Amino acid sequence: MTEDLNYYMQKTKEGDKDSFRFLATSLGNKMFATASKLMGSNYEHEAEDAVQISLIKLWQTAPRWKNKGSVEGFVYRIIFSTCMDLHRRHKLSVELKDQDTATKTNLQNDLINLELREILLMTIKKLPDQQQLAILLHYFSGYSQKEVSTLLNKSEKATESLIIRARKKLKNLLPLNLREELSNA
Amino acid sequence: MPKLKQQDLNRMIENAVSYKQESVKDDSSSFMARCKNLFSRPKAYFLTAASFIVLLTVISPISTSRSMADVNQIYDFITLEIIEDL
Repeated sequence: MTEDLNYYMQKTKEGDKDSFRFLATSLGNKMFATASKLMGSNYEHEAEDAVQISLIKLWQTAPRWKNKGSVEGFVYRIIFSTCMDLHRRHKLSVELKDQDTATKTNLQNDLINLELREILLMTIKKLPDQQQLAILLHYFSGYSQKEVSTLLNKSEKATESLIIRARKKLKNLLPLNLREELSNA
Repeated sequence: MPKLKQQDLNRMIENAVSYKQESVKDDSSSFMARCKNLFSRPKAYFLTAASFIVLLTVISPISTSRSMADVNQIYDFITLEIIEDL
């Protein structure tokens, strides 16, 4: 499957629209699932926006793709950065709304939720490249450890320890109050 | 796993392909690209470090001697030269 995707990505790079259609159809639902997890379950509409923006970015930046890593890795990085941007924009709009209208409590909860989520995403971004990708693919895109190991071109054991190290690092990097918040959730 | 409706996904795909793809210029022959290429190679770290050390050993004595030079000595030297010229 991964090799197939690499072939279609190569064709997409050369401007072949049908190959892009195949790629997008194969990965579309996983992209949406990842975006939903990254954005939060209350933001299905934003997750759809994230997929749309990511597909445009994927098509536009395809000529820059180098056949070194997996296509999935490339795609989920795009999804991740798009969701980060959308988060920032959404948070800003909630903050502005807060100043305009007085539907306080809901908006405040919304804002706290968004802030916690943003801290989590920012912390993931601070992880080393491979650890970041492993966490993203395993926890947000729902790939099994075995699939992640294939995508990262590593052994299963190495992938397992990579994920464990990433989780440990993530735990240390997260602010204490968020760690408590997450453990209570 | 949340799913997108197939028709929504198709609409998104068609929307994406309606955009123009980036054109990537092959700038591997340009001077900057060659420099970048050279310094991104691991073996070039050694070269960079070596040239840095050479620079330090050459430049630091010069700058030190300049700053340590006694201004009075220079004046004396100039005065001597003037006297000799007379």
